[in-house]
Amino acid sequence: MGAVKNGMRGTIFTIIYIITTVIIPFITFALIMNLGNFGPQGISIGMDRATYQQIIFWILAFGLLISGTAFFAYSSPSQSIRRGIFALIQVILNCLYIWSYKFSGALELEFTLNVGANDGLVAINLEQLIMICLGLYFLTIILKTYDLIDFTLNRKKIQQMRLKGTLKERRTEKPGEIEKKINKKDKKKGDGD
Amino acid sequence: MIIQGANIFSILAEIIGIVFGFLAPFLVPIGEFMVDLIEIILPFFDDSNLTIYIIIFIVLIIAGAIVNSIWPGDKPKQGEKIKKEEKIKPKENLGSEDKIEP
Repeated sequence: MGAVKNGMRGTIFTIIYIITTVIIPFITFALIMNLGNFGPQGISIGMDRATYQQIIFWILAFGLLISGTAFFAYSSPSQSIRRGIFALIQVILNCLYIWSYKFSGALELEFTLNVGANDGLVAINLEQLIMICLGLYFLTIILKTYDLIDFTLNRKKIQQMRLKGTLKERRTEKPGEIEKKINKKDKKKGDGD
Repeated sequence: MIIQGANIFSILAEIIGIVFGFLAPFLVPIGEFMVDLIEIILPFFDDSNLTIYIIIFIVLIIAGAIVNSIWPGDKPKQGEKIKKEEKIKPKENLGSEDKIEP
């Protein structure tokens, strides 16, 4: 039953990641590429073909890698070492994914506006925003590394608590309280026999 | 309702902007460091062929399904637990036979 539950969880998260990292960006850039003129004033937004193809390539490439690692991570038992490893890999791939938008041209967007006889240009530079996101991802990498070390050092304890069904309380309860609960459960089982 | 919704979004955007503005002096230098690292790593990724990435995706899915079905991290079944307890019990009795009675 655990294997089925893990597989379902992995599948659901894979689908979520495919939608958010592949499908939504793909549709967005396809719309921008094919938008042409819109509005009664004829405001046009365009994108260079080569830039579009480069963006789509990197979205698909890193989106697939992120989704694959998400499946492995989320179908693993909670607080397991392999889950920690693949969660860390996934965060690193997320950083690469975000930065791939930069050299594919998506960080500096230029819109040409043709309103009647007047032409204009609007440029949006998202580099600062991406820097902040990458800084946040760096902090996430530190947290995931800490998790991995924690899972490795406390492996036997985690396995015992998983068997006893007290795994969720491991992080929130104080160490003495968890052991008391385990001993209480053992005593109750003994009384029942 | 739509106007109230637009107000909520503008408030959310302002809150996010304030938080980002506060974090920017700390996170932007870290982000620049991350950019330097990424620009070293990125050339190792092939930018001409999508097939490699599709193969890696399929391998990850299959490997994940196999590994996590063989080792799902479940509790052992009741029969296995009893066998383990029976193995332990005879060893516990050995000590009592060796006791010397006055």
